[in-house]
Amino acid sequence: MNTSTLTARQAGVGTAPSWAAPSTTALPAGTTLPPDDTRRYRRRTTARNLRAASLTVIGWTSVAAAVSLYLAYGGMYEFDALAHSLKALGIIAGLVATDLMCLMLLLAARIPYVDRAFGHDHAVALHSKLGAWVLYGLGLHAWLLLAAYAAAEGVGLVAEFGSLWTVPDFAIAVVALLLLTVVGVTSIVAAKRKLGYEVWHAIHLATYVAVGLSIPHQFSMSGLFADGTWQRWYWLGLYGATAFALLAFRVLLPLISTVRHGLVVSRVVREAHDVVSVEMTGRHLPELDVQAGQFLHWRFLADGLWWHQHPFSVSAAPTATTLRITVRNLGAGTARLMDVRPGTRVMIEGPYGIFSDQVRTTDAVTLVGIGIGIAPIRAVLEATDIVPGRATVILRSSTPEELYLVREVEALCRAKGARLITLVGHRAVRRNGTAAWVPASHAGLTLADMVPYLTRSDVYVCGPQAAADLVIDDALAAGVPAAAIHNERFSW
Amino acid sequence: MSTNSKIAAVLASAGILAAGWSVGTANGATVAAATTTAGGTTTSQTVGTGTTGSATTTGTTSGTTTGTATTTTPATGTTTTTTGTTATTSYKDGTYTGTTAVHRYGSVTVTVTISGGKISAVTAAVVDDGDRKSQQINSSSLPTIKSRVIAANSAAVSTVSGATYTTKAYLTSLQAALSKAA
Repeated sequence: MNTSTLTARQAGVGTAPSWAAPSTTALPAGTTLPPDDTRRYRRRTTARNLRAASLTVIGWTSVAAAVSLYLAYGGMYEFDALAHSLKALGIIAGLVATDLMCLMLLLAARIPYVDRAFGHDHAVALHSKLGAWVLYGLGLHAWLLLAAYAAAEGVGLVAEFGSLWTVPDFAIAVVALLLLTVVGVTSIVAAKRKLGYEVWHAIHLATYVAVGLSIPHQFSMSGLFADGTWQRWYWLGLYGATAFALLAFRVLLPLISTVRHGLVVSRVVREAHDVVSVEMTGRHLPELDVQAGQFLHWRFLADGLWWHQHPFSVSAAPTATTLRITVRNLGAGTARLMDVRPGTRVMIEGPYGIFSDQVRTTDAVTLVGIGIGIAPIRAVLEATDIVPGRATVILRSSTPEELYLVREVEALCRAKGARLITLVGHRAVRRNGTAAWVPASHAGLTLADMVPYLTRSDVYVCGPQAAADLVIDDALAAGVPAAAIHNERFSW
Repeated sequence: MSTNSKIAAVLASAGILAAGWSVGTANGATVAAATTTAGGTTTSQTVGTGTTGSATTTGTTSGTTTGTATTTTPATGTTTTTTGTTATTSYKDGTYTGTTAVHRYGSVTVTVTISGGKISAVTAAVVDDGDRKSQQINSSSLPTIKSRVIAANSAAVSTVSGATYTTKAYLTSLQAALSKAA
C-alpha cells in the first residue's frame, strides 16, 4: 500500500452505490430466455460468421487470382534466367500489392455488408495491417524490376534507374510510390497522434492521388495489361468496382442520408460540467436503421464546427423521430460542441459498427461502461433483451461526477431487472506495478467476482482503450469466449 | 478466421492458381510452336494472350538510341557499302524478306538488300508485346544488331547483351532471308 492508493481510496469515498450493494434486486436465478430468443442469437451469430468467412475467402482468392492471371499470361516461362526471374518476381510483387491495395480501399469504403461482418474497428485494423504489406510489396516490386532490367542490360542499378526515366509513365509511378510511403509512415500510430486527425486525414487523401498516378504505368509499361488481354479487363473491373464502392458508400450514401433524414439539433442537455447530450430530430429514422450502441460520424453545420467530423455512439435507443448522442469535451473540435445550439443542421455518415444487440450470443449479459463509454452501454442496455437476474451493468469512473447518465442507467436497470454496480475512484495498482481497471478501494476484484454467470454471458465493454483492454483481459482470463466479448475500438 | 474458412480459402486459391497455370502452359505451348515453326507464315504471332503492340520499322530511321543500353558499335543505319573484309559469302543481288521470328516479347521480320553480292541494307519490322520496356530494348538494340550484320556480311554475329530475345529472333529471320539469296 502506498500513498497514491490511499488518495485513490479517498476519492472513492462518498459514492453511494457500490458493487456490493446492487441497486436492484435480482429476480430468481434460473430464469432463461424463451428458446426462440437464444435460437435467434445463434442464427445471427452464424450468419455473421458466414459473412466474415466468405469475405476472408474472397480476399485470399483475389490474391491468388492476381498471381494466377500472371501465370495464365505465361509468367512461369520467365523463370529461365536470373534477370527474367527477377522480373517475374517483381511483377508478381506488384500485382499482389495492387490487389491488396484494392482490398484496403474496399475495407475503408465502409460497405454495409463488410461492416456487419467484421465491425468497423476490425475492418480498419485489417486495413492498417494490409497497408504494411502493400508497402513491402511495392518496395519489392520497384527493387526487383530495377535489378531485373539492370541485369538484362548488364548495367548498374543507378544507370538503369537513370535510363528508365525515358520510359513513359515511369516518373509518375515513382512519385506514386513516394506518396504511398509518406501516407504509410504518417499512418503509424505514433506519427498519427502527433499530427492530429485533420492533418493525418488530409495526408491520407493523397492515397487517391498516388493510386491515380500509379495506374498509367501499369497499363503502359506492362505487357500483361496490354490492349486485348483479358487480364486487362479483370484489373479494370477490379479498379472500377473499388472506385464505385468508395464513391457510393463514402460519398453518395452519406449525402443521401443527410438530405433524406434532415437531422436538426432539437435539445442540448448538460450532463456534467464537460459532458452534453445532444438530441436530434429527423425524418424517416427507422429507415436509417440505427442500432442502439452503433456510432455515426457527425458534422454539425455551425460556425467553427462544420469542418470537424466526429464519431459518436448513440447514447439512447433511437426512436422514430430522434437520435441522441452524449459527448464529452476532449478538446479541439469537441470543445465547441458543448455550446451547439438547437436548430443546427447535422450531416451524418453511418451508422457503423457492431457494438449492439446484433452480436449477442447468449441470454446473459455483462455491460461495462468506463467514463464516457457509459453512453453506448446505456443505449445497448435500453435496447437489448434482458432476462431478469441474468444481466449486470458495471459503470466505472474516477469521480462520482463522471458517472455520466447514471440516473438513466439506474432507471433502466430497475425497469429491466439488471443489477447495477458502480465503481468509483482512481485505479488500483496491481502487484506487477501496472494499473488495474478496478478502483483502489476494490483492489484485486475481478469481473468474475462481480458477475457469477460471467463466462456464460456476452461481455460488452466500452471506454478508453487502455482500461477497456484490461477489462477484456479480465474477461478472457475468467474464461469468457472471445466471440462473446464485444468492444468497439475508436481508431481512425 | 475459422478452420473451415481457412480450408476454403486455401482450396479456392489453389484451384485458381492451377487454372492460371494450365492456361499459361497451353499458351506457352503455342509460343514454343510458333517459335520453332517460324519458317511458315508471317502472321503467326501468338505470344501469350496479347500481342498487339505497335510495329516499329527501323532502318530508315538512322538509329536513334533512346535508352542507354550497351551500344558497343555506333549506330549508323546508313547503307554502308561493304568493304569486303569479312565477305566470305556472296549473295544474289536483290531484296529478300525473311520469315517472321516470334519470341517471348514480340516478333521480328527482317528484309535484306543485297547489292554487289554483299549485304547493303537491312530493315526489320519489329512487333513488341506492348511492354514499354520491350520497346526500349528494341529501339536501343536494333541499330547495333544491324551494324554488326552489315559489318559481318552474315547472320553470324554476337548477341547484343540485354536484348537476347530480339537478337536471336532477328538473326533467325535474317538467316531465312539470306538463304533465299544464296
